[in-house]
Amino acid sequence: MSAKFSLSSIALGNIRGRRRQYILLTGAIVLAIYFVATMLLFASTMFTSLRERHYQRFGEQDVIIFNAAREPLAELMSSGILTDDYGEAAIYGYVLPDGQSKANGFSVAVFDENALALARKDLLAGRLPERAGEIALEQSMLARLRTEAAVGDTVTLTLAIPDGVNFKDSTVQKSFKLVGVVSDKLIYLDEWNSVLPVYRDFPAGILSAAEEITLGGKTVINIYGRYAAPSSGFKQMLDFYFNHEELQNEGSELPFEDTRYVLLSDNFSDEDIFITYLFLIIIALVLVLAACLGIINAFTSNLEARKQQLGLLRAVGATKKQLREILGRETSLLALFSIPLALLLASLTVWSLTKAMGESYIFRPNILVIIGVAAAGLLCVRLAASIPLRAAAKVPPMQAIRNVELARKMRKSKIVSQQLFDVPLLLAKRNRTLYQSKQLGIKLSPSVPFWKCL
Amino acid sequence: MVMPILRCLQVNKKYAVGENTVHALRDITISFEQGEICAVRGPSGSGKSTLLHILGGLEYPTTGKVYYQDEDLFAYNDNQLSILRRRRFGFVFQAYNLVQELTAYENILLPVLLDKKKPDEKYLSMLIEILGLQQRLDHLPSALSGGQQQRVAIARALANKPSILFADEPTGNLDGKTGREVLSLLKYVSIEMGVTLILVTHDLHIAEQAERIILLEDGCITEDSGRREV
Repeated sequence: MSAKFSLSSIALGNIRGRRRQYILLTGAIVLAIYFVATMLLFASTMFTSLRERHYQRFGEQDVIIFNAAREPLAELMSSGILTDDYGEAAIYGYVLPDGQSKANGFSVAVFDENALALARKDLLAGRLPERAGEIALEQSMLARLRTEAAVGDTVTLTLAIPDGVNFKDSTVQKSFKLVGVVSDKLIYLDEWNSVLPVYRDFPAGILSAAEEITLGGKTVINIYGRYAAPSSGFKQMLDFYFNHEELQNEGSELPFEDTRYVLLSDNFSDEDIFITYLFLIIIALVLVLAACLGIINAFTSNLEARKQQLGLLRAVGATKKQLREILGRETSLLALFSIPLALLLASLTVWSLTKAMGESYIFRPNILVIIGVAAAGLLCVRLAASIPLRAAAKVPPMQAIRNVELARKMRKSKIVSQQLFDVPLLLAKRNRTLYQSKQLGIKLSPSVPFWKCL
Repeated sequence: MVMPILRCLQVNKKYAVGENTVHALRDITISFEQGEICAVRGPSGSGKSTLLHILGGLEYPTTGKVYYQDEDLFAYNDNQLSILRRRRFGFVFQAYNLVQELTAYENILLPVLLDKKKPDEKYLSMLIEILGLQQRLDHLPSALSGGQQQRVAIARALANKPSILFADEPTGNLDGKTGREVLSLLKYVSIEMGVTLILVTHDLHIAEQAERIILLEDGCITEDSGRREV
């Protein structure tokens, strides 16, 4: 005798006794959730990869403000447009590769911790400078200098000295020990906005905090920052610019560069972005709907097969609520097994796909997507189970036990005997006639992906 | 005069079959006393099972009333009716109707569990012993013979100490010897526990073992023997 017998025992007994049906049902749930999760995880991976590629090329900052120490740009830092964790890069000089002209040159700067993190100067070799006289350069800058110097070698640079606003014409020669090579940013930022005057360059050389500015020079401060309100930050920056006429006198260039990551290019209007997001949400909802219909169909056929049992339970005194409770526990058990399995399979699939697509695509399981799909899946399964159960629970117990309802429907159907017939075709037609109400979900299911294709 | 435990007044039941209407029961008025053993007899299609299901609150009549201890059964809502069925009524069906996924013991416990009550172990043990099911409690219904399954169904019907036991052709699927055994058990437990037994059968020999025989033909009561000594 079992010591503990509860509604869960009935639910477990049902799963045990109808193993084959439940395996099919689990398969249907796993497949439905698998497709939704795979689509969303793949989309999320694509977005993550695009964003990561942007960060690798341009850095994680939303904006770089040039020469930010001067008025009125200094106000920006306290205006609330940027978050508090902005970083500073103090430019110590502008490197003249041929010793004379600024063409193909680049600036070198001391980055504080925040600026270094936001600028994403990822080390490719060696280390970052720790002492005066040490330097780390972006990989392409070695080619600009036409040197084959490697980490540990000394490089001698001709530097134009900043005067706090611009660079002086006078130059100095300084030797540095090359201690590290970092990932390229300048070549991509140059492409981002090629019209910028070269002396407002994005620093491509990193000096240590112990480095001293050349006598007579005064550093130019660049700020690496993130918008406090990412969607409106750029507009706020523009407003700031247009509200300060003294900034506009300098020419047509903005005193800052907006480098933030956006899913779509800046040519897209806010409305286009909204429509794109709306479209993605609709696709996700349609996928969820298709998954729900698949699960409802699976549950409907499962419940149809056990209508007699439900009728019997009603006959011995089970209320509709208790029936829902029993089936609720069964579905919870199914969901507990199916949803993690589907999510695992979906993650594996997307991981394999991203591996196959190359190194520029990065798979990072999106926790929000996973939690969202798991919650939506659970809700879908419970909802999908409750719809046919409500219908089944409405049937009077004896009708369910004897399946009178089906017999009556069959009696009502107008069937005329055929003298000659194609067996499979006639059986298919009869099934459609006799089980008409059960065909609704099946009719809707294929129409959803078809609609999606349109 | 003894107060009837169950009575029905002017009960009619009609089914629509295609374009025709089948009149399964016509103006049935009948009452049952506490502890009575009554057989409802009649040919196939005479409406015996329909009457039993309406008396037991499993089906609604088209017109008419059914009173259990002077309470109108069908004035209850679905939930109240379900609770009444599991507390006051027990059902034994021809096809046993056990939950195939549960063991014999779990099937017996089912109405008690649905009532969220602690099982009365002493009472259940006595019931199981009377019905000779001690060795079969951990078996699934598929591993039991027809007679054993029907005994499990009887135990389940009595598990909540009901006032009325409804048996719909309880021996219909059993061979003669097993059928007689099951019938004796039904009679025995209903006498021992003071339960009203309403038994539906088409078999005259079985019906004759009841204190009262009601003959139903074409949805109408054509004969009622009244309560007698057997």
